[in-house]
Amino acid sequence: MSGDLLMVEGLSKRFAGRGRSVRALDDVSFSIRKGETLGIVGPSGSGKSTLARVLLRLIEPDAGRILIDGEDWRSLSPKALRHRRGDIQMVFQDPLSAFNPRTTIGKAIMDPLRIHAVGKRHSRMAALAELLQRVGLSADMASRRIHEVSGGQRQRVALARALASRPRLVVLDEALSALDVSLRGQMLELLVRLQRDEGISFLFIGHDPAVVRMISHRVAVMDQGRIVETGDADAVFSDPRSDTGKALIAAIPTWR
Amino acid sequence: MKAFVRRFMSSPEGIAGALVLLLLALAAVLAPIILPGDPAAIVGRPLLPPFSDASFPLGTDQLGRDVLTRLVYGAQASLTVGLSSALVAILAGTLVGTVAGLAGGLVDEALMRVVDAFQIVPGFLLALAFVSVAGPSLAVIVLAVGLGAWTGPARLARAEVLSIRERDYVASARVIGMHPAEIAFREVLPNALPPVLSLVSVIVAAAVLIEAALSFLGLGDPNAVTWGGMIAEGRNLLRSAPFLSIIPGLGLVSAVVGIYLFGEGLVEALSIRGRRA
Ligand SMILES: Nc1ncnc2c1ncn2[C@@H]1O[C@H](COP(=O)(O)OP(=O)(O)OP(=O)(O)O)[C@@H](O)[C@H]1O
Ligand SMILES: [Mg+2]
Repeated sequence: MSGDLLMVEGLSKRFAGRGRSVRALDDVSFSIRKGETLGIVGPSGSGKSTLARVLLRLIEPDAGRILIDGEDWRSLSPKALRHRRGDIQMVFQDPLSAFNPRTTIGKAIMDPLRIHAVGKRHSRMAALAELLQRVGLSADMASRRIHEVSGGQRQRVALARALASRPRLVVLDEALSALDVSLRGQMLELLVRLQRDEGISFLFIGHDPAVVRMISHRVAVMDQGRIVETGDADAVFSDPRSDTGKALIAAIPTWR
Repeated sequence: MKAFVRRFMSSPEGIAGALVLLLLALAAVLAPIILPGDPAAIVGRPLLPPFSDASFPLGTDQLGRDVLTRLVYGAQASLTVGLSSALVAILAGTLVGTVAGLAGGLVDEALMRVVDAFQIVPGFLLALAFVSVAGPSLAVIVLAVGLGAWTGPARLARAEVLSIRERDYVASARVIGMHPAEIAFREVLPNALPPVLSLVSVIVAAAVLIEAALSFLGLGDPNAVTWGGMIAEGRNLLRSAPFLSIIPGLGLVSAVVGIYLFGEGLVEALSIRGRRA
């Protein structure tokens, strides 16, 4: 038992379109331990979102293995996959587009509770209130729609929905990028606290090295579909080996 | 909802349409109460002109039946068939379009070829052929008219679904493990519906006209008094008693215009304009 929650081996994905094809993922391998945060940084178009979508089986890769706790995630039947999806959740970059504009926040959070039968029917209201409270929102938020609350609250709602099925891994794809500095700080604190209390693992994708460094134990640097460097967050950010890593660090404002 | 009512009230077309429809609907619903007479009963001398006898305000036809009573019952038939067949067309079209858009691939190809095939034939001919084969009854006519009008909603629904299925909230629904059928009916369909609804006015108006045309040709519901049927019966007397055709004709025109205006007002109020197929 290595303590690895997620192990990825040789993931490749090519997008073919209009004559030329893009290698969005090129032989990507890495692992994430229980309770660990792996940060992913890389320039725009380096394949970070593709990686997230492949892990969540929103798109199928051309090759590669995904093991969750040693189990082959890609060989699950559609039905088995639906039942297991609660284990890996995602927080999207733009909460406004990640929620059905017609449903209330309460229903959006109830959905995963219902689908994964978390708790009994009558106790789900309590579970909903508890989830909202856990992400620092009041229970009366449940009756509103996503466009009726503020940007910071939206991303907390998205986190609450992701946490509802008691996932073991949460993928955050630029989930904090749209927030202002103080809201981002609050969300980072919240994530760290959740991880400490519940041992959730995070795959944290970001384009701001400073933010990624704050939350990640380890970091992988991506460029053109490949992982060009991995290591401890502090090591990678203080002394990057790859050209991509160096370029990213150089782009951080130096007045800090 | 309040905002919706306010927006609707600020559209003159909408109000005009609503008034016309209200009048027609009241007439249709209250027909048996305000005019207890049987529309098929012979009640007076034949061919009394309108406004000549207080007990037959719109006159009598060649058999001596009351024109006003028949006009009101005709409104009933027109609106019933128009609304039900538009409902059939929109439900069927939306369903087919949604399935095509969601399934993609071969299913999409096949369904859209069927839509193409139906679209080549004018809706009226289709309805005509269908009623000739299946025989005229209310259900057949509703189906026939719906058959000629479902392709527009199908195309529009498919286009909408193609765009919605790429949205993050659909991806998010998959991520939480929602069943594909639930995704289709709860996440995709309700969001694809509003633009399709903008077609309602055109479809209902067309349906009323097609029903009238079928009745005019003697293919209407034989047990119902219809405007198309009244116009057809008056045709032989067009010279001597033109009112027999003109009165139901006016009913038809006002219904179609009223429906159209009302629909425009609704579309305006729902702010779903600008996305028509
Ligand atoms: N559905 C798709 N069809 C075709 N090409 C795609 C598709 N999705 C992504 N790509 C291409 O794959 C490459 C990787 O895209 P991806 O979105 O994973 O990058 P990213 O690292 O998330 O970028 P960003 O930081 O801008 O979000 C890009 O070249 C992109 O154009
Ligand atoms: Mg991205």
